[in-house]
Amino acid sequence: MTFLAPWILSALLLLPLIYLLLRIIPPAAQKVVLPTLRFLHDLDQKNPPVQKTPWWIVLLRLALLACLIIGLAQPVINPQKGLEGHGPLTLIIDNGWAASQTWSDQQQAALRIAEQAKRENRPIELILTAPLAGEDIPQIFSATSPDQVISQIKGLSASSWPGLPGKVSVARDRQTFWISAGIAEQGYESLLASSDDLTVFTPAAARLPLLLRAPAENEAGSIARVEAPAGAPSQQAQIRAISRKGQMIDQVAVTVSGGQGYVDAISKIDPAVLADTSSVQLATRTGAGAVMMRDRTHNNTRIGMVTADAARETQNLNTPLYYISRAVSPFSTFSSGSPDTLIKDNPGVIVLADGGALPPRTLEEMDTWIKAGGILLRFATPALAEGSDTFTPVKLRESERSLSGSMTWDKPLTIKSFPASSPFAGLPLPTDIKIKRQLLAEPGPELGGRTWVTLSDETPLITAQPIGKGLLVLVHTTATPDWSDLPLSGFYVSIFKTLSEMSARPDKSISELKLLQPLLILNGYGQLVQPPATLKPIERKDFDAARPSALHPPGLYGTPDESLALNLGDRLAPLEPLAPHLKAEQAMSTEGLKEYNAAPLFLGAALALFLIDMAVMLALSGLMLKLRWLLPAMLLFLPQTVHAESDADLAGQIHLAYIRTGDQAIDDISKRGLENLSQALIDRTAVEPGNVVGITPGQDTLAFYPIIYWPVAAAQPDLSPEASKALQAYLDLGGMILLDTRDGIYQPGELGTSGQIIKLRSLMRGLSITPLMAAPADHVFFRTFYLLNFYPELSLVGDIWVEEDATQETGLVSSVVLSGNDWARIWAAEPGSVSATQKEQATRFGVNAVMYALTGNYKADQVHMNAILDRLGRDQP
Amino acid sequence: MISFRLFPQPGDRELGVRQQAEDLFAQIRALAPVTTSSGTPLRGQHRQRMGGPGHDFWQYREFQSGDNSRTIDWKQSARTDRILIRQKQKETQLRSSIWLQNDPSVHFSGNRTGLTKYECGSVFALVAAMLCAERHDPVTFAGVGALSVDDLTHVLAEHSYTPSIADLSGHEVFLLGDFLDPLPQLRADIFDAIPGHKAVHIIQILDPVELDLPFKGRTVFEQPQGHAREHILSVGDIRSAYQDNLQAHLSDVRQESLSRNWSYTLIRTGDNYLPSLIDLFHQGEMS
Repeated sequence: MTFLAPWILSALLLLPLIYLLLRIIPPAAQKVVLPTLRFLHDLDQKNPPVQKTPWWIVLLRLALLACLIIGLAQPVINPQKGLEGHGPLTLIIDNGWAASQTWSDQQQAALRIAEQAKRENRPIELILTAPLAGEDIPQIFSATSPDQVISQIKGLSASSWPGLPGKVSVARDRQTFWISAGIAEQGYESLLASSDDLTVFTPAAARLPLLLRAPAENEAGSIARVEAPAGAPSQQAQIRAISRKGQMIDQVAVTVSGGQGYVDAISKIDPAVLADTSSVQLATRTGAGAVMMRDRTHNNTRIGMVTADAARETQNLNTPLYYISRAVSPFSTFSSGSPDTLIKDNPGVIVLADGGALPPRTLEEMDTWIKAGGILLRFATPALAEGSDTFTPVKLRESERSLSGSMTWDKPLTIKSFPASSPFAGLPLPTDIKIKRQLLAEPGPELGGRTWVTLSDETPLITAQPIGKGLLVLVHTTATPDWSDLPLSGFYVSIFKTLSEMSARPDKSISELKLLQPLLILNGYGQLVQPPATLKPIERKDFDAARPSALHPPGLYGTPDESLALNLGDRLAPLEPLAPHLKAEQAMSTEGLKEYNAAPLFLGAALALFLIDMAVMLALSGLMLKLRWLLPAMLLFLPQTVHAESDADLAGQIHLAYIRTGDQAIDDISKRGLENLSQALIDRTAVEPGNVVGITPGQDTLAFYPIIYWPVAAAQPDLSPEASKALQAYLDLGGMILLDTRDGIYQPGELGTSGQIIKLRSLMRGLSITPLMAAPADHVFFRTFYLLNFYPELSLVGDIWVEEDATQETGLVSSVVLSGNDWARIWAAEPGSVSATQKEQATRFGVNAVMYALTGNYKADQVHMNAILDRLGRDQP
Repeated sequence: MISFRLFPQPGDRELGVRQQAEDLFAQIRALAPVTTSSGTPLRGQHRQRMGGPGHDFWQYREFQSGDNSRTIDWKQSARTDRILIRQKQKETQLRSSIWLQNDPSVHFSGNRTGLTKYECGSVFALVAAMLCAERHDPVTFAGVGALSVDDLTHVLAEHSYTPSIADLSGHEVFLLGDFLDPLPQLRADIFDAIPGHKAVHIIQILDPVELDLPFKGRTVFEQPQGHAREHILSVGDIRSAYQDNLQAHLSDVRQESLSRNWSYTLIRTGDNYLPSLIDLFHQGEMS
């Protein structure tokens, strides 16, 4: 402990003097007005007057003064070493991409130096190694007062491009501090050599930045590789593949350690699904170094649909537009309009699904458009069945064939095969499609060659005819579920997907562009943002060799249709730690002990002693008696928490509760965990729970709590008869208990024989509970708020056990939910001690559990969606 | 909304005094309805041993010139040869006056919320005024004159009047105060200064704090006004000596008033005043 104003301590020398003064001044007497004073005159007084203050009052006051003096001398516990220099100093901060992973440490270290400089009253010259976007020199601020620099540092953030330490120039004899992110970036040698008085701060080895690299070319399923600089300890890294829609496709955990080179993250997901990846992220780190974007090239097949009046039709469940727009939107841009505008717009595929025949002029234009390479997809319509329209791949018979209905004996048809010439060949045969009405083709020699899909009676479902460079395709049933349930099947989507892939004609390829405009760039937090206007485009021929910099930040370049990704991980040289290049006297770690200002502590103690002294004085002089009428008023101001939660408080709000096990450590974790869960509920849902309550069944009223968390502990005594009775009443009257055996994963389908399970069985002996079963994946518990499907590698339980009769069919709600995951420990865990994903999944489980307790089987209605759609299709005339 | 009045408002005390007086008056009325028996102070219908306006028969007298012809008792006149008039007993009002001590000494209350000695005296004065007003007997307030009860309430609340012994008039005189001055001074200032021969009632009002001295430990006592103070190191030690001193003085005052054939009453503020009031004003009726 040191003092910033040590001279004030000399006032301590006055204490003996004050001691003497205090000794001889007795405490003040109470004063009373009395009209009968006359009769007090000249009465004998037996006791001699008190001339001295009691010793303990003197002690109290001396302690008060000592605290005051020490506090004013500004004591600092664990103080930083002085800067040991004079004059202005230079503070260099790395704020490149690597710094975003170590930013808080760097910021703290910079603030410590600035605070120290403030004490020594030395101006600071601040230099940031990373330039502003669009510039190529580091940011240099002329020397100013430390206060200004402190506020500047607090407002800084890291950028997404590398810093340029080589372009930093410092005065050779000036004291210089370099707060580095730990990576040796281009030109670091010159900076190290340029100053005689340089101290370099580097992060601790475990905090050294990681970099996400492009996946290995020859490794199947590799989504990315991770590089750790030499010296970094072995650590887990979570790598996520994110789809274009921003959904997580897969998460892969790899173990990386320094100097190992690149570590592959291999995903076991179907490559076709993985192909939808638009970016890969390193979940455990932030910043541009933890993001790898993919080129965005194939995401712009446009599909247009001919409609009469788009606005009128969108809401209607019976129009083709409804089904087609939904089938198409996941992979393609969808538009609708009149035939003329669509042809002008030139999408890859035009869909003609309702309405009558096209006017001759439009038909001509359409023909020209198809010959130029367009694909026209037609669906059967009642009008087409009349035979007037001949713009079809095959000649059609007049009137359609109905295969299902009261007047026919035929059974609905199913899809039989995809001919080898069909683009659908190779797809799994959809077996669930039933065609009830269809348009029949006139048999002819060319029919077999033009058929893409054959039904079970060898009639075609889809026929196609190449016209010029393009195609004319006809689906022999409607685009709505009127004639078949094709529109409700996955094959419906496949039709559009296949056609849109066939239509993908390189329209205006990115290779033809001369300049690539920055489209979206990564900011220091690894998020894609709009680029500042100052950024210049990259020439196409330079792009492949371009190195991310402030001139060309990592991000997407090109046009909204087609863009190329500029990634740090593709372009940067292997990472090299800075620490080995430092001389011993230069090296410092950014992880320092935080200094602690003890002045408020001492001043607070002085204030407390003063208040005690006041109270004592009041009591001694009898004034307390006079002021006692104030006491009721003071009680009014006391916080309401003085009295424990009453029943009314508990009933007025939802409270999460846990059962006290008797093991203090477990109870503390339960309390903390449920508090975190309460906060999560407040943040995410409409449930706003109050305080967490620990309860003992049989003693506390259970009826207030919709859900009770019960961690099973070996130390817990068996339930008393009253406790069993209370719990049984609670369960019978709609309460819910979340049992947690805290012993990890159960084997699928069985509970095992761990100590806690045995304990649980003995605890439950007095209760009548329906047998439990492992909850099926479609159990309503997993969809009350979040759609839960746990990732096996999260080491979360697959099986959640619920009451056997709480199924969708019965509509009952399970009053007992059993699992073994030690949820409270994960809920209560500090960030970092469990993985963010694990914590998130556990939180979601908790949210779902509370929602299940509150809403019961409400969300089970979602389960009936298939049946509802089925009925909707069947009831149509 | 319930509002708290943490601190007393101006006018509260005036209302309190008036309220208390009204309550006491109502209690007296409930216990002793108006009667017409005689011999008690402060009652109307004081019959004089002479003819005059009144209700009751007094005597027959020969008609003299100047008598009202309506007073002639024709029946009696017919029996004799003189003209007789029927004379009634003269009834007059009882005139009384009140003197209330007003100096710093009486503006004292040992209890923060209780009445001061002056206010206690005010209650007595107001009850007396109400009893008199009921009978249309005039009451004068020494130093102010005759007043309505409402005006009297305000005058008393303002503490602004100077009581004057010389103004005391009427048949009965009520002296209200703490009478803490030494006896010779009391004689000179008050007792000997009362003009004429009257029925005098001394009502000595003292605060419980003055009587009991309920303090502990080291205490500095001060006069309500002036600079005299007494530094007492332990009040408990001197309490009984103090009480002896005070009781000696009280008994002096009592002896003095009894020796002059005056009535004497000692009141503790905060007590129930009803018995004292009934003793003073309704002795005859209650017995």
